[in-house]
Amino acid sequence: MIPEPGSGLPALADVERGDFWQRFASAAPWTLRFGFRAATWLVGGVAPLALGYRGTFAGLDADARDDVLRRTARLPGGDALLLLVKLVACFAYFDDERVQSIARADGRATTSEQPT
Amino acid sequence: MKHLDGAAVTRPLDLTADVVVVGSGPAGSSAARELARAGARVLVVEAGPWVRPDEHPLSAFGAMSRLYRDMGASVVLGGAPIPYLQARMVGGSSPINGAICWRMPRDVWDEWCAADPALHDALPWPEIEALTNEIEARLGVAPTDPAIAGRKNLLMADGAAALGLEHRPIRRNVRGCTGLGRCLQGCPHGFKQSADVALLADALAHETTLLSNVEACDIVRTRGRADEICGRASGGGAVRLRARHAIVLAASAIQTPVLLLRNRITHGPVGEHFQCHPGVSLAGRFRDPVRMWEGATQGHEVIGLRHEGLKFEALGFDLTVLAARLDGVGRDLARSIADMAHWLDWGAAVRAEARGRVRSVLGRPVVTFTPSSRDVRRFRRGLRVLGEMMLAAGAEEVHPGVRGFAPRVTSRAALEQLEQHGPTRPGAYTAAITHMFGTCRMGREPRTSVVRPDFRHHAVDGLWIADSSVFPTSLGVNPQIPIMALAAMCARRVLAATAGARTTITPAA
Repeated sequence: MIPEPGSGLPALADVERGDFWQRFASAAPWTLRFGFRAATWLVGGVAPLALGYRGTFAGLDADARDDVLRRTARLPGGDALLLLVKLVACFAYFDDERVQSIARADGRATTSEQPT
Repeated sequence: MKHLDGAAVTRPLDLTADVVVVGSGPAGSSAARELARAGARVLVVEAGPWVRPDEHPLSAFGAMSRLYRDMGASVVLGGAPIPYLQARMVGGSSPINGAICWRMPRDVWDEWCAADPALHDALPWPEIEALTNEIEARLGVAPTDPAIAGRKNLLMADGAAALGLEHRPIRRNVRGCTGLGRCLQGCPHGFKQSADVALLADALAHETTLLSNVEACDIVRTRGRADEICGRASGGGAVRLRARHAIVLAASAIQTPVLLLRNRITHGPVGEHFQCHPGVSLAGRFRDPVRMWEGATQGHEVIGLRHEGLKFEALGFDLTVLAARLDGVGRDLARSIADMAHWLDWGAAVRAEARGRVRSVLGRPVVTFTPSSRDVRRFRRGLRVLGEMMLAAGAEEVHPGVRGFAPRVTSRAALEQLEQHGPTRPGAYTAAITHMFGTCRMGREPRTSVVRPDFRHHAVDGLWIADSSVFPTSLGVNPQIPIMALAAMCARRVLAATAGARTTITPAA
């Protein structure tokens, strides 16, 4: 969901998240924490299997991940699940000062080719 | 300046003053200032921390996790789980709002007086105007300087002009603003004259003591009179605040009724008649970079459809919120994020007619609210007008963000289709609630109101309410200045009722 290396912006996997998850766990209300856990489990674990892939989201290649996300978004309630995952992923991603500085510098970031 | 940080209070603390004010937002700060300047000794108790301007975080997560109540994830229950945003910090929501200032609308005051003629004399229009003038002068309220507006605001002016809609630079409470675009995370330079920076600072220059990180829990009554607030400091110490003359609740239209309900002060329609301004937004892509995060956070507004219950504002989201707002997943979203400099988001604030309710469940608020079908029609109308303005201003495509409708729109015909035939269920719309009112509303009749027209509780002596929970209806405009003006008026009524009384704040041995 976040640009991979090759774009002007780093991939989510590459950003310095520090104590983000600790801060998220202590600040987010239980409803948000529970909703996020459920959403990541459904999107990352159940959706790939339900859509005919073997294994979880993390084990898929970029094309398969993109396909899972697009098709999940079209399922009833899928858009709401993805919105929650997207929001928390964006929190984690833009919490990194390097990302902020690259993105604020301009629209210099180029198009990403691969979702994470 | 006298400030006690509850984080350092580990042992019982016992203080006494003339007046205890619960909440330090626009209402609490304004009431405390008016009381203190008149010579009263005041204790202001605030559940959240005191965050100085240079401590405001850059990222939205940093701000929301530290400054927003429940990280901004509180939602109303009902037809759609719409988030409602409240801060939990000294200054209330004013340090993290868009700095938008509106005077009390005369037409709304007329509505109030028509519904309850007692308010005509209790809230005299000339006094509201005089208080507003004084507060606006203190806060440096002025139209946004075009030099720091940024392209997003100037484009809204272009779009509104093209449609022939009345528009104007937003009047904001800032001094020396450089258009950093960080109002919603808190101004790191203290340019925004939020309640903590201006009004509370004035109060603290007099006989006021601020207790931050202290949650007010109990309203203690002696022979029917409220005379003590008991709370808990975040450091663990029990806090006891005795009020010689009055307790003023100013904790917001959500927290004030919850405090009353958890203390079984259930007189009148407490928690009922919840009103608000749900907002929807529309994103659009421009060929040239517009860099939404630059310029005055919210510097331009369209007011030509206020009579329809709609007001449009340019928005200045942080990168996080803008990215999350962009449509799509996977590669589509990745492309949009890499292209963020070209995206704008504008909002429509709706004066909703629907009413909800605030309850206290285990001492925490549970808010129920479902936009009416007319409110949803206003969502659709607002999105259409926003889209038309954006296309007229040069957007290549716009994204209404409506589930069950085309995600990308490039023509006015499609926007008309959205207004005429778009989804009718509230859950289809991505909305957020900011301004809240009416849950302890004011009135002459004890059966249908919680406080009297002079802000005094109908049933509990010594208890006053100063925040927007006393407003009989929503305003249809950004309420911080009217809240401050009416809270100052409440303070004047307290002073008039307790004239001559002075004591000193005395820490327990």
